[in-house]
Amino acid sequence: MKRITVKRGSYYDSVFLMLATRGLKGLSGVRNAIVAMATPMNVDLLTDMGFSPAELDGLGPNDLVVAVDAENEVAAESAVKEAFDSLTRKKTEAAASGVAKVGSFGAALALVPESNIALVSVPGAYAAREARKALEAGLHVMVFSDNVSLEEEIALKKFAVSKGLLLMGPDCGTAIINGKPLCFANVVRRGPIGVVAASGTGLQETTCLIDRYGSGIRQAIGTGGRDMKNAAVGGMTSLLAIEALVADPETKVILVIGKPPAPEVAAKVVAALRASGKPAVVHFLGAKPGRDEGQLAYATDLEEAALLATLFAEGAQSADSAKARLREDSGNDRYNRPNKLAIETLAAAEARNLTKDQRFLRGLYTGGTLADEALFMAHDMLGGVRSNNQTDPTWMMADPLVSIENVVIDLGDDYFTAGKPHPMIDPAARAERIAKEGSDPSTAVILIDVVLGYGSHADPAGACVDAIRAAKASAKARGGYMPVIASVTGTAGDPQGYAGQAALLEAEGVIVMPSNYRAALVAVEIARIASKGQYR
Amino acid sequence: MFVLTMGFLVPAAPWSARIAGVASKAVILLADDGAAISIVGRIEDLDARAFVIAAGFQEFQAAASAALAEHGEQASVRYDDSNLSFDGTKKNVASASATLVWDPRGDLKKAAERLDGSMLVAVRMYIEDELRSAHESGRSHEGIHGDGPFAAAFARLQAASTFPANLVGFGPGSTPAGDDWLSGYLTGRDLMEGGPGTAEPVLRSAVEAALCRTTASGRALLIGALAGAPPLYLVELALATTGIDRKANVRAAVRVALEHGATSGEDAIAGFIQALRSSP
Repeated sequence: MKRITVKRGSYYDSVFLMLATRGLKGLSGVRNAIVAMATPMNVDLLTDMGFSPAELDGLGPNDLVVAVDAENEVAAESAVKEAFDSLTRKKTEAAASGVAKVGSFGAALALVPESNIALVSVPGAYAAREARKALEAGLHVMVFSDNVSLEEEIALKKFAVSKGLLLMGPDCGTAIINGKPLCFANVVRRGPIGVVAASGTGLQETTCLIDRYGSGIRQAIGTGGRDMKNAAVGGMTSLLAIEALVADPETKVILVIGKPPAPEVAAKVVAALRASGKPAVVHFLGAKPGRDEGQLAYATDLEEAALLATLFAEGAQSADSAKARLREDSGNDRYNRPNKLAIETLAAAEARNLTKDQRFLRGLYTGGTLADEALFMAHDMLGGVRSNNQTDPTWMMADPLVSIENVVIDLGDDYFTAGKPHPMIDPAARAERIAKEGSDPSTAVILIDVVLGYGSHADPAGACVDAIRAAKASAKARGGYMPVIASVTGTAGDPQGYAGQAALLEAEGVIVMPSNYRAALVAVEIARIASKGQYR
Repeated sequence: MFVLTMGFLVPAAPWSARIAGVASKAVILLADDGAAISIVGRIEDLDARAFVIAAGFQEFQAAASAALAEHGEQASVRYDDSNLSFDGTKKNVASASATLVWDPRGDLKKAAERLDGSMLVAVRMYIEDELRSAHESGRSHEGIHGDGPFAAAFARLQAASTFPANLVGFGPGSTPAGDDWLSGYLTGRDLMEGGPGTAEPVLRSAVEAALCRTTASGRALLIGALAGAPPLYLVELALATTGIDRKANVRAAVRVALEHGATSGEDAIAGFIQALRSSP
């Protein structure tokens, strides 16, 4: 079924045309698609491809053609619609972004004087100046920009605290304020849990799991990676955020997530939570959990952090009682968490058809915190895993482009994103890496994350499926099998839709686990079986 | 003092041109000769048919979008000496106290004169290494570099006796990939054969005769390339090829080139490499 649709006298940015073409190729039922200008050479090409010359007759070089070869009428119709929707959307976005670019912070504020929060996303060298302007005008500020110096961050945060304003960031990619997702964030139901997080995808994963477990988010406040970690910053934003959540009567539970903080900052944060009078959960990735006390519970992973917060929101009276509930529920269907035996069984089944050369885990992540969570777990269970995110030089990847033995790679790291979009926005780089790892005979299992929500790619699972298919085909051609394990960080309300994205992956034979933690458990177990040759 | 920079092939004032579209880095005007004139905000995006209005470009872009939305094909821009304004309004969008005319041919001629032919293999290797590195770091293979119908058709065109003149207007993009390829190819051939606008006279004639077969943006690009004035990013690549610290500068120029358009930079580099390959 070949369909030609034309828009005469149209100019579109080449990048839009490329993205529209790429989007169509991923659609179900579409065999081939071209979005191009109707120059004579392109018209000849389309004719050679079997498109009707009559429909192309009379077109000129400045006319746009959408040519779709689909399996049926419905698929063709939907592809054409998607192409024009995509182009219109991008034009509108471009126009809208143009209108929003009023030239100065002052002009923007004059346009919307009732604003109480400013989002700063400008090159790092200018971010501090813009953030200060917003603070001076009495606005809370989220600084998405990175490359803001430590000295500037400290000065800004001191100023913000002196005015009782939150300075989220710098390098803060995720927040949910008064129910509004900012930057990379998901559509979660509102509820009684307030989150303070120094990590972007960690915040996304926990807020999505909380939504899935039936509770909701009051506020999710990003702090920027250095806030708790750097003693000189001293957790200024985290502490102010906790103070704000404590003062808010609608916030019933406080959840704090981050990488291991400076000891003195950790002490202040814990003291603030202890004094809050509200149940609280703390999870510092890669750090040994502290000792639970009263209503203050330490979680061992992001999934447990979300569950403990949910249990407190449901009325658990203490850390002990919440954890007792977890033990009771572990492995049952209530939270859709396969238990240890189920994971071992699943892993053994996936490992059954590996060849003797397939021995290693290949974690290919778009989310940094999710990568860290998998990395720490894999380190514990496999005894040493290389990564571009490793802080131990022994296990740092010599070349992030080359996987040696077990690796967990954060493809959103600066090394990969210099001059290019983050893989959560454009997953093409990750897709290519999946195919590359699939062609490596030593790969025993591929572990991936798929992060949904605002800011993320419109179809991140769909963007992987060709590469997954290729990886599985490569392994099969060598007489083996390629297990691919995934988690989907997202909700039913996200623009991409959780169920549809999971179904796309499952249709390709991907094992989709209910959390990143569970996905990593399965993948690591497969790698463990493979390394010991226990499948034979 | 606001200084307006404009390519030397921008038609002489005064004129009006309709707004054909607003892209992320440029506002595209359609001139009477059927070729585009671009108004860009960064010097890096300059070409022989472009203006650079570094200060206030975003406001201009927003106003052009609004004009296009409101007036459609009637939306136009007027250029009168040093003033750019929207037709039908008194509002100047750029009023320059001085206008710099950009003409890269002098620099390109000097580069051609100092070309050391024995370095061409190494230069090609630097370019190819940088391209490989970009792809290994995640740059996807698109258009004529991919595995779809455009790539297959490009291979067929390469095998034809009319290659590369048959590339005019061929391929994806608002500036078709074939035009970008030709622009890179002519830049490379000029570099090796005496300077801008001199190499491949037969090909030049064929391309000129085929200008009506491409888009307005493609036509503007090829008009510049035929005159020996490719876009600035290709000029930088050509100059890096013959300058000092060649390896680092060539690789840097490739990285900058790859940021142009969806695949424009890569298409042009492919043509440039082909020209280097054709050296004796």
